[in-house]
Amino acid sequence: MTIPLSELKIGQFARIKSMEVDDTINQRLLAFGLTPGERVCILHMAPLKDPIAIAFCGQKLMIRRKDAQYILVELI
Amino acid sequence: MEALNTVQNDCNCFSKDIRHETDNYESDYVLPSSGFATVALVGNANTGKTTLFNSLTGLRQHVGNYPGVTVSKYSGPVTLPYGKKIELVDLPGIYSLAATSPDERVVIDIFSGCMKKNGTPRPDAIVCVLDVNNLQRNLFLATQVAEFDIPIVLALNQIDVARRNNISINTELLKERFGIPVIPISARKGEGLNELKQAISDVLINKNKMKKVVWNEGTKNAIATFRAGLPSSTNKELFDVDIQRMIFDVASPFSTRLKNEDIETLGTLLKNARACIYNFGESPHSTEALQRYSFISKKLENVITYGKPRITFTSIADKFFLHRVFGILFFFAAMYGVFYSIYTLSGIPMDWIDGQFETLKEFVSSKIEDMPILNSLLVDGIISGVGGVLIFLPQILILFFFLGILESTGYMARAAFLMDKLFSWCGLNGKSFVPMLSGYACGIPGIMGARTIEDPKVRLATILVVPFMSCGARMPVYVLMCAILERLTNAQIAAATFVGMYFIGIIVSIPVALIYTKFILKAKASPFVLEMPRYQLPRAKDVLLRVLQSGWEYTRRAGTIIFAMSILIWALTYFPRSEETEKRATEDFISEQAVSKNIDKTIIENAINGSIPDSLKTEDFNSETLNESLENKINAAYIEDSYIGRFGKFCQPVFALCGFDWKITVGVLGSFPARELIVSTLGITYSLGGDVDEESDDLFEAMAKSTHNDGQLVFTIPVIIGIMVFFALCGQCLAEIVVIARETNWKWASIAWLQMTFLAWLGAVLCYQIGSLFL
Repeated sequence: MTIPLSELKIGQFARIKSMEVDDTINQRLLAFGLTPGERVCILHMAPLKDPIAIAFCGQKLMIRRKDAQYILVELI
Repeated sequence: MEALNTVQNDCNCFSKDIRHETDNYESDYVLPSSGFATVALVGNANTGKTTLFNSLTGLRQHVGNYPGVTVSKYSGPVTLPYGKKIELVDLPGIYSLAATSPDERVVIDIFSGCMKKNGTPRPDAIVCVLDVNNLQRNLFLATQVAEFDIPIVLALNQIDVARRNNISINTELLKERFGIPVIPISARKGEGLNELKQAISDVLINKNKMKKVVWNEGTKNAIATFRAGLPSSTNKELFDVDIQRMIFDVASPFSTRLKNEDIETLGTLLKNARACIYNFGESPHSTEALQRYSFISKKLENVITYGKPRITFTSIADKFFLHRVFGILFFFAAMYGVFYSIYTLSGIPMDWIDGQFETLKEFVSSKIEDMPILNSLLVDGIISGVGGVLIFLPQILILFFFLGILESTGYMARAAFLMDKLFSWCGLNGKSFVPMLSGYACGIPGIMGARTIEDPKVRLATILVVPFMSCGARMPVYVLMCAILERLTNAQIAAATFVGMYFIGIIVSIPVALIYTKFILKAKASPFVLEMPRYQLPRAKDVLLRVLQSGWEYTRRAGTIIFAMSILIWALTYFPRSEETEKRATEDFISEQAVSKNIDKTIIENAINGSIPDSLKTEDFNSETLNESLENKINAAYIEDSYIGRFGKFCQPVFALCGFDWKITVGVLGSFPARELIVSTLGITYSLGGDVDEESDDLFEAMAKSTHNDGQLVFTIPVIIGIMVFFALCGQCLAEIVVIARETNWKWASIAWLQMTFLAWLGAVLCYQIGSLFL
């Protein structure tokens, strides 16, 4: 099932399928290693559920919900 | 849009002509003019790069600034084994060379030798600092850096943490695969530093280059197509790395390296080159990362062995620190603690500095009483100027101490996480919180604290709204005005107004921030991606060095200008000071006294000179009090006649709309060096001398009773509130403007000043005009 990363629940694991974000943001996320095929999960959400803290490749990154909704993931 | 371009131009220090004289990439190692080889430290943020730098250089490091950008330059000498000396430069922590921030541009400029003219030569070797616990991502930057063909050493930092987490690394294999020295170190524990120094010394001789990514056909074709489209002269000057960056990055600043005539064709060149990548079935903006990461994972095969996983402190701690309730509670408690400490701790040294300068002033002025100009220059100009610079130091040092702790523990990223939503809707981000909060103590450390914000546009917008936070210098004005307000109304209203002043700043800063971020800077595409690093204990040495550097930078870079401008303002307040003015003021004084006491002028004149008939002598009427009042009268006349006073009268029609009389206007203008000066300026204009403070009854009386020419009271409720609103919104002090200029540039400092002055004036006008309708 393919859903946006922002729809993932805390603790659910998923694999990155594609990233439909703006080129600048895309390049930035890619530099951190958020590449298609990578395993990702949401660790924390800030008080208003935005931003979210995601974990992948042994690191923790905070991104905003509006950027996360364009990252499509596949539940595993 | 124009503003946006300027921001980009400001960060732009690429130059076409410099490139001609940069040494050939393959040239043999020649000693630079200083005699030392230059070695650069580069790496991601949070890798412990600065800890390594501090460990290697110790206290011998110096802080400077890269010209044209507000990126601090840290460098220092290091002695290698066998006594060879190098100059080590600590570059800003970055994640990629995509050059979207000034930090990234500085690194690229230095690596391509474009900073040579500005005193930072192309490094002879690079130490890539990698966090061994996150090798894959850290190697991304390393492989980008490798494209510059500069000898590299890989320093695998935090090996102690890896060991604790049962991670082991086969460094020999890495060394073999990348063809360069790979040294496991722990900068914090001092482990492996000698081996690292030895490796630096080795690569300076052997010039080991790191193995580069082998591009796929699409990228190879793209680079070839780009080259083929360039005239041969430009072709020779551009290296593959320049072309790669132009193709891969959305809007690469590398394009400014092309000659003017080439820039016109750049669009077509890029389109053709990128088409090669599209034809290969990939996107030019993602292909680089994909190829690099697949290259890295091949190189990392069988290199890392994971032992039994351990539950880390960070994962447990974040459950608490990022908790919806406890996390927020802890955050506010921590911030309260930090700013309470700044407020209370800085008071002691500030009072001390103030006291020392007062003593010095008294001492100096008692020594040279007979030279009034020199006396005033030394006391009111120079000593006050130096005092006005140093008075901010305690707050800056204490704030940077706490910032250092917040950042090096890793908590800053968590605070930004919790606060981001609140700030994101007016275009700022979670990192704007701390600078804005510290603005309540003092704008200057707040503005400097905005350095922690990576995004240049958000940083600029934050700097522009920090001054609206009600700082300590506004307090005397509020106290004085509320005291008069209390007489006209009652204590409750006065207290409510006092508190209200602290909210006005926030209320105004929200639309201002919105206007800047949404319309002027257009900070739309700023992705707020922030790494949440491992928690760790801060190292005293790193924090203290940072504190000292921030204090030194402020004193040297802002302090000198603040000092010079204080003297200029002093001169404007002091001169022309003609004898004419003194004579006129004396005559006025005598006739005033004669009228009010109903006695002959000559008696007053004699009384001033010391001979006073016993029959008239009272406690209030003797030669001493008369002389004192006369002196105050003359000083008031001097300031009225000074350049500032004349300018004040010239501007008076503008301020009359706020209900100000010329005395308030002159006070507003004369207190520009520091707003708390308004009280003593008003003391002078109201002929009470400059030694009044906000709690002196004489000043209340004089102000509360003062009237316009037509007999109307000057200080009515709308005027009082107008004055407070004016001070709540206007630029607080000279130092603040200078610091904004240092942190951005003079253009933005002028904009900040104009915007604040205009809003302050507008606020005061509205208060007066609307208030006068009802009261």
